[in-house]
Amino acid sequence: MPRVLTAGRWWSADELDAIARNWHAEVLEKVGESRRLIAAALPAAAEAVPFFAALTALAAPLIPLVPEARAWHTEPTVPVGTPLVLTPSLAHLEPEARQRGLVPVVLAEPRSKAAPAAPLDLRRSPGIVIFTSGTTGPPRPVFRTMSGLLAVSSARIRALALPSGAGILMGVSLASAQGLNMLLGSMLLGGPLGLLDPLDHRAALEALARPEFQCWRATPHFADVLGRCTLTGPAIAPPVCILSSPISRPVFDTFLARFGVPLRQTYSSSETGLVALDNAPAAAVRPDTVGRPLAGVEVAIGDAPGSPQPPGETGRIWVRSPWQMAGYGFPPFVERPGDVDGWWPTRDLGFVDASGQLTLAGRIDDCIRTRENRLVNLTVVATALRRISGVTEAVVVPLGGPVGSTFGAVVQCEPDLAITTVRTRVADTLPPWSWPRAVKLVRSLPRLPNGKADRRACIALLEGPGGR
Amino acid sequence: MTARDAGLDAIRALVERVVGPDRIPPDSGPETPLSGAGFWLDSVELLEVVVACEAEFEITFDATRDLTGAALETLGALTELLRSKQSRVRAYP
Repeated sequence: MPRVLTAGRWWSADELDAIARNWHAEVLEKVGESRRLIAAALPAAAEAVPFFAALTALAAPLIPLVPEARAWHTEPTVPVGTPLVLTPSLAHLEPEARQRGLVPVVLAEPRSKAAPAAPLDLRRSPGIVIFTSGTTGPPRPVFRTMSGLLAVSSARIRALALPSGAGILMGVSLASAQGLNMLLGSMLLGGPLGLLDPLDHRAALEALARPEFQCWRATPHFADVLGRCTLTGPAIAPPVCILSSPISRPVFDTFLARFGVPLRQTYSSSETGLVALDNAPAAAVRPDTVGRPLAGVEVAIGDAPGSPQPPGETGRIWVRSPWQMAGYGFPPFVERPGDVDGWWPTRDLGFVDASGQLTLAGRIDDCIRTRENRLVNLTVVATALRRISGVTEAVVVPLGGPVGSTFGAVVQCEPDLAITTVRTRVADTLPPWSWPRAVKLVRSLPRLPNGKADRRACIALLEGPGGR
Repeated sequence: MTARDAGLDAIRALVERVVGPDRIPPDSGPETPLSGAGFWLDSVELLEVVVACEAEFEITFDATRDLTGAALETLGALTELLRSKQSRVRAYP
């Protein structure tokens, strides 16, 4: 169990371990020991760490959910009757759980005394169900085995040459695949874990300067802000700073100039786990590549993995690795549609250069990775907009920016529909990261001669004066 | 105009610069939410407002103390936070 720094407070490993054991015992008492699925809403707080440890010491596959019920709309949905374990801080989600046919189980306040003696072992867990953005609809469940998750975490540690006991700082949600991977990495390293508040750049600057942290899992906008905000002390960052979202050259250069540390890109997906990372010597790190595939991971570019394209040519990225997903769905019912001899067809485009470095070049589907590092399906957002009374058509398009993508919507609607109404209706049905940043209401969508919506014109409309 | 109005107006102008003209509520006041049904700021934009406040009003927020969720809930709460750090804030007489 790592000791945890959050909001300026250290939680000791012993304290968290005792909380985990007490919660584990309580779950066993209330739910029983079984191999049935168990779901849990992970709070955005230090208590998520012992909560995760308590639940992964069960023989049941775990479904970690974000503490945001609007994000629980998945395809397929979490099976009716699945227990949903809630910490006391998230007890308010109980009605939402019942509404979805789940069985809420609210735990007692965390106790760090009188803990059961038996140690917890996360290797008992068969695995974890995470969610990826569906390519044509709501998020899909992806089952990853615990042995695979531990293997990829070990591979990341080796590739980044992190020593035993190294601390990890992260600003991503623990309920995300990337957050869980970093948490597992921290458990394997046996070092401290720092959870950064996404709104507190001052606390982040203090944490980054602490010598116990050797690795920062950054987000693009935080890297941007820390590179240009006013400093009140020396600029110090951990020797390893990694990102998994593209950033612009100016953001990369500004951060490097201030902290003397390059921002290293990585490439992963819910289905494949970590594929590649840039572990070149600091002077050779580049913002435009995600580095080379990890040892044991194979990458092929093209329409089929058996006939890869030559270096430098862009195509679909195929991945074969020892730790990719068991399949889509909820265990024991999982499947791997599209699998070719162990190769997984990602929805990403890219190319490998002559030196073996992989560069990403967008998506095959209608998803974007936002500047908040969330994968959002724009089709789902457009569908939600079209369901609003008074809306006759909607087009959702990506919008660029120096720290990553956002997206906006051009909405064709009745003249009396107010923009506030549109935003409120979207907020009622989609989680915050799926809300369009820019919305433009029009009587008639810009269209091409063939009648299809003119997406370029929509982007120009949203990026023009008054568009945001 | 009162001193409080001047402070609120300064913060409102700053937030409006971040969100752009499309998302400015018609009758914003101290109770107008910064996120949700107000200015609809997401976490990236909220952080942008925070950094812009530091630059424009020549202050620095305190780590873990100032930037709590409550301080960033409404226009009025952010104005009060800046007031509490006020001696160096130009907009406040």
